[in-house]
Amino acid sequence: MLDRLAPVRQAQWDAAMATLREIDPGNPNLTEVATPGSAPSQAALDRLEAAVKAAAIRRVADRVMPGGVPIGVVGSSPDIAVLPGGEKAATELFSYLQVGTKPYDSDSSKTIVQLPQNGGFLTLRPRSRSGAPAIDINVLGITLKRIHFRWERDGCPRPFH
Amino acid sequence: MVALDRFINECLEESKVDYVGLWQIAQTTRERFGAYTTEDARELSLKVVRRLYEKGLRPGDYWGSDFNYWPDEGCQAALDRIEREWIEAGADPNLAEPICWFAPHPG
Repeated sequence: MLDRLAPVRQAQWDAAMATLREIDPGNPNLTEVATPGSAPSQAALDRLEAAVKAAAIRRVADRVMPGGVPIGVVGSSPDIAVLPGGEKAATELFSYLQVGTKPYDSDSSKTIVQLPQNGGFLTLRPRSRSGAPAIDINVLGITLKRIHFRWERDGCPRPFH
Repeated sequence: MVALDRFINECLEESKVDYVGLWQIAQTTRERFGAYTTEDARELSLKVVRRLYEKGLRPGDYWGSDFNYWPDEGCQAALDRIEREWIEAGADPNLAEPICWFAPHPG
């Protein structure tokens, strides 16, 4: 019986593997291979895509909340962090976080990217309301939702630790 | 109630330096207050929004540059609009489709 969706699943599988390789080169799911000569089953594809989503969320979480503790110092709430370094630090961190994501929208006032498999959204805003850059983290399960990047001259409030 | 009061105060503090997104409120209802479905999140978020409105925050559209306040037709009108747009979306607001953000009353 002809499996008309086989090429679609194969393409999705290849894309998911490429994304996973980018996000987490050591991920054990990268060694999983579909049956030689045939496209992956939908169940196998679902498992792989779930692994990609988990890896993408873990990559962000491990960077902004290593060991479950937010980086930087506490802002207006436990969900908000403050880091020094201004735009340079914000851009560097965002460059790391956006690996494996898809561009969603971008202009001079913001960049929005989407994590794979509807894992959530991240934004970089060069100027928040206070004027300093900010990264927003809209990923369910990552309780840190925003990082403000102060200019060095502004100093920092009390630390998380 | 103490936890909700604390969250309200956190939003008010954050509004002094940056806009507070409805997405932040929605996500917090799930992470801190046990909202499981988007209906739960909406119900709890609207309670938070009401309190924020009473404390002087107002909703508006924002995407990185200017903040455009919604016409201020009172708290209930704001709640109704948020509820309507949330139901239409069928999912929690997020950074891509935030419905609204909050900033201190312009006056």
